[in-house]
Amino acid sequence: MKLQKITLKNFRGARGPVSLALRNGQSLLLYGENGTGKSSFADAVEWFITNNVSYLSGEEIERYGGLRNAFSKQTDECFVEIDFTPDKKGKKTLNYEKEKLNAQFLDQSSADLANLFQNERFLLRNKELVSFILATKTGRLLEISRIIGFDDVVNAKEVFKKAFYNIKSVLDFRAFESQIATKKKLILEKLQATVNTREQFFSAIDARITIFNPGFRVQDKHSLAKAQQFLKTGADDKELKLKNTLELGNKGIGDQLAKISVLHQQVASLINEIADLKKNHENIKQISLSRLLDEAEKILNFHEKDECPLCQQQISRETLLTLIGGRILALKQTQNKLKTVQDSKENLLSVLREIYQDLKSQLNSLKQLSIAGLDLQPSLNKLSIIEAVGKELNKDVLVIEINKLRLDETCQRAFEELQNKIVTIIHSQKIGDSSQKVDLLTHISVCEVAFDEIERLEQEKAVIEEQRTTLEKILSSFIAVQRDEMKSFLKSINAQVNEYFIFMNHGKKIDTIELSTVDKSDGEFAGISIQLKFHGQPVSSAKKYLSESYLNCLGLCIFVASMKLFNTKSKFFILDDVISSFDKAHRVRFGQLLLEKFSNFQILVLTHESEWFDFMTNTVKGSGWKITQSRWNAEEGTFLEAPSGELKEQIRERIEANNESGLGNLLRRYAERMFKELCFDLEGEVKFRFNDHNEKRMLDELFSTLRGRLKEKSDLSDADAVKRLSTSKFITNQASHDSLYKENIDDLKAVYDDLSDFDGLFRCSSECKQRVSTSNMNRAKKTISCKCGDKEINWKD
Amino acid sequence: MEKTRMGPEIVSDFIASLKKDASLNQDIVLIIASLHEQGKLTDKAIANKLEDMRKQRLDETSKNNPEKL
Repeated sequence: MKLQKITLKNFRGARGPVSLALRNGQSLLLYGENGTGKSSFADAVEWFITNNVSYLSGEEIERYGGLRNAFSKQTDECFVEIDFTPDKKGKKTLNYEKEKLNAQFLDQSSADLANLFQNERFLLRNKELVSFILATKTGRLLEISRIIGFDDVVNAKEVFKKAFYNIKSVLDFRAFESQIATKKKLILEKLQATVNTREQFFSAIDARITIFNPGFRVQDKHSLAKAQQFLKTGADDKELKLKNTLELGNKGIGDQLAKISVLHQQVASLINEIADLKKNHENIKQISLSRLLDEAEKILNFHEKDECPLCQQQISRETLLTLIGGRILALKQTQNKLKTVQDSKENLLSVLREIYQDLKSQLNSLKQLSIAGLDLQPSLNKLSIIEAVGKELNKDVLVIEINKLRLDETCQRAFEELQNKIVTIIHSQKIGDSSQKVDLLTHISVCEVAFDEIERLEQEKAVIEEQRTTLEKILSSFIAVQRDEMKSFLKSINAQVNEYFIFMNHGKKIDTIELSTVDKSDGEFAGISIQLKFHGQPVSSAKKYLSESYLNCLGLCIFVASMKLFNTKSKFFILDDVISSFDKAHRVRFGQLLLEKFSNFQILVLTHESEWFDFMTNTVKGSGWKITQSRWNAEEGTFLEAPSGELKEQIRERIEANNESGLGNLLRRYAERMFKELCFDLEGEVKFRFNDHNEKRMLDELFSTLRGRLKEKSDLSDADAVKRLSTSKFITNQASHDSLYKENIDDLKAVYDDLSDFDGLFRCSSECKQRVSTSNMNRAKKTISCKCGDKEINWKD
Repeated sequence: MEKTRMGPEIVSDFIASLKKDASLNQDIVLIIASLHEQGKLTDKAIANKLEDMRKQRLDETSKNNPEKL
């Protein structure tokens, strides 16, 4: 399928509706200065198919309505309509509904049409090529992935990788082994048995209670409750409460001390990470500039001058792009590092909060009992140290003071001493028959809690480990798939890339070129390297041996080869300003490559390079390409330079339908075109202006030049048709939005008639339909004529 | 020329293939497949879903365990 017509309304640069008609899927050569909206057509096709414009961020598209024309109102309709060959049409709108932007296909067949091209590669932009040129081996994997449409694979791999590392760090921070070991140690101490299962737990209690001859066995939950009731009978409630609190305090402090010893290592490694980050202080300070640099990179893709667009310092565009690209990469690496440290800090903070809350609750319970000889103050003082570390951790990573993160040894020691005192108090209780029963009862209670916690920790650990195992397998399988697919892709494409590359570099120092995958020492797929033969010698440092123009050329070859390889539905592709980094020789060869190797494709070439446009115009002449230019004005937005015949047709349609909308602009463009053509045919001379400014002429300037020329050379300057235009406000008003002159349909009809009459003074009405021209001058007769000679006007030699 | 696949196709095929791998936790595969289908496959989204899954699994275990002390 090919593109037959693209119509935009209020989309990107277009206010419109503006249509780009491509008869029978003909190829296109579109020239437009920067800012005239030529890329709006590429954006429209991309958005219609993928619902995205790759160089705009999601935020720009969704939040700021970046796809809608900047001058459009929220109530204005915005749409993209594309006709495909043969006879398929799709429409997609982007309108506000209740203040929210809503992208919608007109009907199911439009959506199906877009879906058809989902997996195809049809657009290459300058930005992708520039990134490819600047990339390292790892970066090149990403850039080639973008060029050939593997972005999804790269993104998915990053997602799987991060998901795996997330779950791994959860496992590390929870320190399950250490927590379980502490609890098992407590049970061993209290029940004098190693307990791993519920049965072993009941059996250990049964063994301990036998000395009191309860008359039953403890073997399940029910008999355990019976045993607890049995031990409670006759016990002193006060003593029971005291011992229970002491036992639970002992256990709770023990649990938290185990966590603190693991925490020491985690804090130490966080301190190192923060110190490392702070060494890159300057980079970190500039992370906020990332967005600005991203924007700068986008702007530079459209900025063709060799100067910094901000400070206007003279610097080559490519050097500036290299500098910015390197800066963005460095900042992104720092940003990733910062994110990792932030995650570690958050995990640590949550563990510290648990420790603090638990110790605080234990100390409160003990405080309520006012136990003689148990001084809680040193521990309460140390609790405030933990709180202070927590407060420090709660700060932003970059303002954390490293020396305030250390939990000093005295803190741990204070709680160890408290635990020892508790144990001493427990052991110093009177040993009598009743006290022995109370002891066992409190031991059972504390072990019950500990065993429950062990079970929960083991379950939690098992679930996380299962998640980790699955994510690890998914990640490693995906890495293998990515490598295999890329290898297979490169294998398929290398011959084609080489053919195109050699075509574009015929007779140059490069003989062959081959892309291959690079693996890390641990087997992970690391990147893509470019091997080539330079003067017959194999070398692998492409950047060293290939100039920017060669690398640009390689990027293009990869794109066109992948497009040829992948695309099964589309027979079109769009190249949006891709030759900016090409030297002259490569530009010429690229034009030839397109015509020679892709003649059965529809190619849409958009460029702002006037020289290359001129070259391509000559190259594609007679090949059925549409050649046109995009222009822009405030009222119409983007519009396409149409031949006067096409404009005349559009004007007639509107006049017949009494539709004055946009008619004034069409008439102005028609008049401008006609006057320019006449100035050319009659050799009317206007003031010299440099480059593109030469094209920007007001109607009155062109008309007065023509009138002067007619006065000098012919007798037509007094013709009625000339006189009418001389007094027409339409000609003398410089811009269509002039507030002093408001046009209505009748005025516009009259203007059209006047313009037609004026044209009729010079145009042949019989065979050739051409205008008279000084190139057909009859010096003897002192006339100039049209091509067939039927139309003739007097012309002084 | 060998058959090659485009990026989105590779990812979709890979996720579909996970459903047939008995060595993987299929609840996690389901989470990934569903996020991918919604176009919301991010590490953060996976982490959140896995945390919900852990909570749910632990609650179910404690409910279904009459022997819990």
